[in-house]
Amino acid sequence: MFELLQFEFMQNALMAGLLTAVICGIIGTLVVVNRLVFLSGGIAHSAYGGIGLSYYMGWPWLPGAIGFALCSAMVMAAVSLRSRAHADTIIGVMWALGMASGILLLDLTPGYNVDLMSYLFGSILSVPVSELWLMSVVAVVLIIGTLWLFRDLVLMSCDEEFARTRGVPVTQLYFLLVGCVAVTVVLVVQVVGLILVIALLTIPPAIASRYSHSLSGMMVLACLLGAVFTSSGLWLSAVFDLTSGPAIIFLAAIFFFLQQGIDYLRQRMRRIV
Amino acid sequence: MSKTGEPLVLMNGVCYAYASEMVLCNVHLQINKGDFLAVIGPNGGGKTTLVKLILGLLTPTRGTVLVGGRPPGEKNGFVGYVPQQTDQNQSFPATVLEVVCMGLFDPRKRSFFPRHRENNRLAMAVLEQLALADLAGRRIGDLSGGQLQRVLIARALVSEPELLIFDEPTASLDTRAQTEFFELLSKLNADRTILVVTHDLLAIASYARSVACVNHTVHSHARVGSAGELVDAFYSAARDNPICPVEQFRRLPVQKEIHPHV
Repeated sequence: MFELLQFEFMQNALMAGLLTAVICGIIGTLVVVNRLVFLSGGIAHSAYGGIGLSYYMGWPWLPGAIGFALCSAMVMAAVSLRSRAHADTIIGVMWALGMASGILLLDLTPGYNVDLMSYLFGSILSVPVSELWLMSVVAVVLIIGTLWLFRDLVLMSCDEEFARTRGVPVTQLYFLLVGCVAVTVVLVVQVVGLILVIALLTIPPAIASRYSHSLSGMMVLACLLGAVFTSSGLWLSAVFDLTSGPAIIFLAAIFFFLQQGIDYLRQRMRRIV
Repeated sequence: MSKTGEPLVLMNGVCYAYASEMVLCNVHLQINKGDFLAVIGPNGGGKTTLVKLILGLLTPTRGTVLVGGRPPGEKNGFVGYVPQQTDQNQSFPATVLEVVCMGLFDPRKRSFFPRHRENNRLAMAVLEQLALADLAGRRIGDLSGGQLQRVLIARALVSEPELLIFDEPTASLDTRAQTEFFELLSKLNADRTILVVTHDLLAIASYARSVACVNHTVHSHARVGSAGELVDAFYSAARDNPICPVEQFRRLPVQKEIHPHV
């Protein structure tokens, strides 16, 4: 593994993977405990509409994608605050609409033929250093913000109504959280791809939640698991000449089902004994 | 601490409407220190709205609400709230001790280094008082319904509130746990005021000191009748019956009102 790290692109890829693991470990934990997985998927996919719009209008794509993702995230947050049941449908429609409008806008853009695969699975092996810096800044801001608002987040995630009676600004916090999901998802998508973001947002926190007794513990464990998955997936993809994104996801998903299976067997054993 | 006899909650001509639908209208309600008030009424009658107005989660469309002489929600920790258990995110990774500490959180005193030790000490003291100290390290997802209920009470009690509010607390408890729950409430009532939203008329008859019937408006009654009479009155009252079930009962010739806490 270590001889591979002599290459600069491998160092960058590993760095990108680790930063993604940290960002997704923190945000993903909050997504999982607040049951926002579907909403995050909706945001990530609707961001594709923003990419299409940016190309069509000739804007730089990052601000366009972030703006579009933020707008749709706020709509989804507002709807889901009013009624959780109704939100499910609206998010599903916006999810599909974002993807479709992105592709239509790219169709209408003369001379452009953007590779959809690179958006879905990313290109972690060709991450420029500037993107690594941007991700580092996001990771640091995210860590400081989470530390500052940690108790608020704990109360909101555990019992929203009780949190309100203690004076926690639940509505503002909810919009802030969903906004953070939108920004981080778009930033990380360009590096590792849409599918990998959703996988890293859900799989490590889901595994971590089985072994954690606190939200902070769950965040740390999710970050560590994400780091293990990205680095070993990257190594596998280099050794066996595979696409790196899917290799990381495959590894994480296998681990997830193994953990679920062991858990199930353990429970059955306990019942028999 | 407020003086005895001083009203803890005072609602004056309060109305509340969701969008265009008037849920509560012209509510006058006074809750005095030391009271054990049971709130009854049909579904959709506005019981939960009444509770949310007292907690400051809703702002009245008309009228005023005062809690401890101040607008609701202003005195953090003055009111302890025990929500319905179904509101609790049971898969949340937290220990019993951490959940109880949540009752001490004050967003105005946010910091990077919260005073865990002091909070943990206060939380442990309350857990011991409720005989829950053994469960302190347990995950909330692993608790039984009755245990979770008592943990939520501990969370409400830890801020030393004057008034404790329960919203349908016994809905998911079995009969034994319900009895234990109301026994605990009557113990807590020794030095705290209690408001409980419940459909359990038997419990009201044996534990509550006063009753408020909520059906778009509120009728309060300073005394409670016996269980059988309360049940008869309650079930004979149709949803749109303008006569309050307890009032109807009070017109009956039977005058065997009982006072469980003399």
